[in-house]
Amino acid sequence: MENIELFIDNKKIVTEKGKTILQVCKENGIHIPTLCYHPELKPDGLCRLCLVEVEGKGLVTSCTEKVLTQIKVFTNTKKVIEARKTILKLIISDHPLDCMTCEKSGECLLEKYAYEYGIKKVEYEGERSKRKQKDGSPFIIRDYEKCILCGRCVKVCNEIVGVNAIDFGFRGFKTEIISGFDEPLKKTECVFCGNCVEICPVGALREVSAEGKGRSWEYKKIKTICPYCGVGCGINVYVKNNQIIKIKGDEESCVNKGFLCIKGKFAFEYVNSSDRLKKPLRRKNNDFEEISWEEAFETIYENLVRIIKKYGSTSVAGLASAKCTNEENYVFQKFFRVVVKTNNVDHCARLCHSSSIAGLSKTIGSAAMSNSLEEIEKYSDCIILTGTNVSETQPVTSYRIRKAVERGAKLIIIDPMEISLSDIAYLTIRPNYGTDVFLFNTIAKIIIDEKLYNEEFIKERVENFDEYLKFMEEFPINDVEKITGVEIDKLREIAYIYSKSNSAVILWAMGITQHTTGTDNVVSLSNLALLTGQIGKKGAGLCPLRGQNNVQGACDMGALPTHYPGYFPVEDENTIKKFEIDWQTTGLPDKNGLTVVEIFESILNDKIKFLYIMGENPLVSDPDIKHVEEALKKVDFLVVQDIFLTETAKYADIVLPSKCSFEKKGTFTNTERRVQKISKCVEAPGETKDDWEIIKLLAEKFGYKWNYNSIWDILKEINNVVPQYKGITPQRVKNGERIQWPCPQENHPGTETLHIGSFKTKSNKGKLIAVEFKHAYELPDKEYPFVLTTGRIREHYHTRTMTGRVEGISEIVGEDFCLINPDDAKKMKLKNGSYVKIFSRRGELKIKVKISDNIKKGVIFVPFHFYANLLTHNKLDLYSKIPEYKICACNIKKIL
Amino acid sequence: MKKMLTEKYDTHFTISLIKKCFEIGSEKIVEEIKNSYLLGRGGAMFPTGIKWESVKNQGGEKFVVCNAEEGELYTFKDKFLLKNFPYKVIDGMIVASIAVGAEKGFIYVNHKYKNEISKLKTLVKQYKKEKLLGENILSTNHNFDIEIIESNGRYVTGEETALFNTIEGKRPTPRLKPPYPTQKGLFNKPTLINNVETFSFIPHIIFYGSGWFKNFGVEKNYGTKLICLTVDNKKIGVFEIELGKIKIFEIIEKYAKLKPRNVKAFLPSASSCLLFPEKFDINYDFESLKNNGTSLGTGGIFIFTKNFSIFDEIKKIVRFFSDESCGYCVPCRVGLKRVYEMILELDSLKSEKLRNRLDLIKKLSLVIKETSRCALGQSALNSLLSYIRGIEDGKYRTLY
Repeated sequence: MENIELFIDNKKIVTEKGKTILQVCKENGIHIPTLCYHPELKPDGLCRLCLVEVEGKGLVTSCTEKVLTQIKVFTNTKKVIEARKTILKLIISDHPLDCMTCEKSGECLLEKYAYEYGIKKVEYEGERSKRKQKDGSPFIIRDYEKCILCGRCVKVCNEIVGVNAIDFGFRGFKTEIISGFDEPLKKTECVFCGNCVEICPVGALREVSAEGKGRSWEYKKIKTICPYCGVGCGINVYVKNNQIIKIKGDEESCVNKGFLCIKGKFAFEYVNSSDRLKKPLRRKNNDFEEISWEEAFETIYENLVRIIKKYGSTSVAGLASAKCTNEENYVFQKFFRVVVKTNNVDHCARLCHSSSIAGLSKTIGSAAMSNSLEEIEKYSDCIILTGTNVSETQPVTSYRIRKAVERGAKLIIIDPMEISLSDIAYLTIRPNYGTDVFLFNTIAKIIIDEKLYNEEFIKERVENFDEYLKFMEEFPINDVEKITGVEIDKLREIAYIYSKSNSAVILWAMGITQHTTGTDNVVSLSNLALLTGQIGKKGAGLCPLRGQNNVQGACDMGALPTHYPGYFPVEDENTIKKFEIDWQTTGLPDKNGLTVVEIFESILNDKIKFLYIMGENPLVSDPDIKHVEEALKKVDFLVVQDIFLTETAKYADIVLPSKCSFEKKGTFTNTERRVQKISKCVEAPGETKDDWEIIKLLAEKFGYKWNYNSIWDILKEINNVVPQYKGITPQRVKNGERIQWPCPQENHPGTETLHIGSFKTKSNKGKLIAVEFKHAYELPDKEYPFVLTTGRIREHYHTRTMTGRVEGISEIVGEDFCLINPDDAKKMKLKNGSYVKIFSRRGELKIKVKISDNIKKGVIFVPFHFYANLLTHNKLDLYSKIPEYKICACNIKKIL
Repeated sequence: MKKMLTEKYDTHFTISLIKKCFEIGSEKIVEEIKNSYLLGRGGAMFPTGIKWESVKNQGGEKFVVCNAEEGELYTFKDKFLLKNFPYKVIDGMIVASIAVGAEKGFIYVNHKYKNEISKLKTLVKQYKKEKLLGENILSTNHNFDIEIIESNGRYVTGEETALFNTIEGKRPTPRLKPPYPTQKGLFNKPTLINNVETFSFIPHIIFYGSGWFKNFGVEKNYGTKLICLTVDNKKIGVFEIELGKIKIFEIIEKYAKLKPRNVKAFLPSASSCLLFPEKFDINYDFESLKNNGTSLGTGGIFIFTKNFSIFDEIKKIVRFFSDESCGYCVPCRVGLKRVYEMILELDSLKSEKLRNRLDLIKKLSLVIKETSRCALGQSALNSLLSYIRGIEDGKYRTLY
């Protein structure tokens, strides 16, 4: 960037060309009042408050005026001040003066500037506009009498979220913000992300939850991390009288820059839910009785000892939790390895990205996202999204992608479903279900045949190229259209764009991973990056988008049957040596343990007798849940530790009440490998305990005195044991640093981009691996002619343990539904709102119909949050043991 | 007085014109327009040739747009042209398409001009039949098609970027400039947008040459101009005059058929400043009006005789601009409303109170003029401000 020199208030300033006067003023600590401006939105000069005087040009809005060399800018001349005062007076002349009772008072920008400019009286009071309240239920109050028409809400809705639910309507003095044909928000495209509320500078848009609850200065505002998806958005929690009043996005967070989605913004009602678990419970006949912690520990201890004695350590298994903190997962797996002496510890990452881990471990040695969201927004020229409806699953990531496209990045979407971002995609292709390997092999074949590969990169950093070429020679590229349903020319275009971009990134989620060929799918993506060298530089790489708030951390902490913390493989004697020293113990288990689905299988095969579940709900989340139910009924002893009596907990022998993330301290690691602090916002109900404390106390029963007085003691141990986390010390975390691992020293800034210079494999090289195309396990046939596919929706989270307890969410999506193509619907005479029975070889489900163009003919989509897993099968990917949630055969029948 | 726009020509002329364009090529066409110093007749008087050159030099898909919204008070010259000489606009646009390399054109017409709209539609069909529009015009490889779009009835859509937004199906809000339409216009593509009158000059300039064109008017203000005359709210008609060759009082005498001593003010357009009798001997052209503190604008002239209240008309003007504000920026949306409310109250005020209120109106109006986001707000109060100046100068002791 070229530097230029200018003068602001007679002070010489050197800055980069292309910036606006406002940006330069901000950088130099010169205060300019703004109402419509927001750093993440395109400036549009609506409020005209940021006026400054430029010599020779007069008054200009500093938010839109670019700096020029040698210009003289004055920010507080009499003329500027008078003009700003006039603007403020005009706004106030059409604004109610009820600040004494306004919910926004104390945080209102208009109030702030009126004070700053000493405006007490407006000389030209006139007619007030007739804007009225509009329906924003269930979450938003749209009090348009207070609206100053700064347009921020419209811009955030259009530019960031991309929904266009609201716009300016009418003209002149009658102008107002309208939604759709001036309808209630619920009837429009609105997704209730609440970013309009976040960004409203006055009291026009407010949270229903906070109405009448107090003044802004009465609230404690506590910075923490959103408990929902893997993005790890920073939030500010407003608390009064131990109640969460509202949640606002943390503008200081580099992850979300203040933006949120419906769950992060509005779905916190569950915290105060009356059915929170408050005391330990013990099964008594068909019911539970409340017991003391001591009794609970004693009962667990007795049964665990009995079962280990009788059946051995390998008859015990534990499911850790991607919802719990790093510290809790660390202590949980340590308990199973040190105390019980089994590696049968796993968690739900098995069900989402285990095939990413298996695939990328083989090819590049590490499965974490190789790049930050910021890199994708700022540097990637080509973004391939495949198998991820990111606007639903990680809405805030979709905002970043939108900005990248606005910057000029080419977005390529490869997904059988039409996803929300396709409105801005450069190219969208919708292949047949389960044909990913063939499709990506075809792109690789084109890259090879048309010499698009990066020779230098391959020579220096890749192995197995020749064997891979040999395999590709035989690859039947001509079958591509028949198998995938995609024209080869489109794939050629993708091959060219991807390989010729300066930095291209591939993002994926469950559409790639949840297949019996999940690992192969991931390998075929990895091959593309290795062939073209699109990895190991800023904005280029392979990015599996993680699902849950701390699924990355739970993996890092070794809640995996195959790896100790820090990804040290179980079946490696050096690993065992290291951890026996670290943990000052002997006899650590050195054989790979069982995975989630295998654990339930083994219960039915009498191999697992004791199951300990911390914060998971397999009776909803796991495939073929009838099977899971049988296992839960059968297992000798079941302990469930949770915040609610979940579907799974109802089968437990002992239920232990724990705290939710607003009630405890700790760290979460987000999808970008960023370790972030969570803070205690409210006191937990009843006798609940931190998850780590429960495990620690249980270990004490077995005579293990772990010296953990707070989570910081655990983090210190993690610093010593997990090399990637070495420099992420309690002090740095407490200071609010958001460090991305690997962070090898205390003064290391963390690592934004992975794989620069070398890969984390034994040879330090990336490996090309030939993968053959295989069909999905269960394809449609005469009896079950439809493909059933499952996925997430943005309103709900996982098994709805949390979101299901939020009234507003239930008002928006309160019932299970299926998506069906209009042609299929027509054939079966189905209407929106009809009920059908979906049945598969495993079970059946009565469900409401939504007709949607986004779904292919012959396919039924059902969100997994409700009961979809009655239908799915539990056949696994060979390498990662991930079940194939994305494809099974089903049939549907209209219910008359 | 020589005429050009109001002279007829026939299809043979059109065919020869288009043939000539293909012969001389885009470079020469643009050069000719540049040499003619033709200034945009929509009111902003931007040099047309520079606009054309700028669009010609851009790559990729481009558009040619004719602005026929003509929503301003007292202005009906474009309607006159579309009614009597619609082929000139279409010919001008075809020349433009050849010059800048565009394949698609739009004429955005005021929705009230129903007859003109159907006339244009018929004409486009006829041109297509004759291979003067559509694919392979006159068997060349040049394609150009014109679509007629009815305006949505908002004055602000006459602002070029608001017009683009409307065609794109968005709200008619003016965009920030830069980027200018020549860089990012309709659908974010380089766009040549000119007024009906501007396009109507093009066939003449290209056919007869810029040298010939410069025989009309005076230096820097070449060519003719259509003026629309309204006297005391009564429409008189549309006339073609030569720029700089006629004085204000001559317009009053010759076209309004009035004695200048019976006229108390001359408003060149609704968004201009008033001219009072001592200025009636200045020339009528862009330059002279500008030098005398007003502007020619669209050429929609309002003449006030001694019997007509200037103040009442100014109230109407302010009300018009206030109602037609897009509502986007504060000074225009709220400011114009407040000014209008205050001038309505003036009648009931006296002496010091009246003076104070006039001061306040003036102060607020100046801020609105200086801080509004687009030309609508910036020029809405010109007539009012010039009226207040008139009162201050002692020309009007009362408000009438």
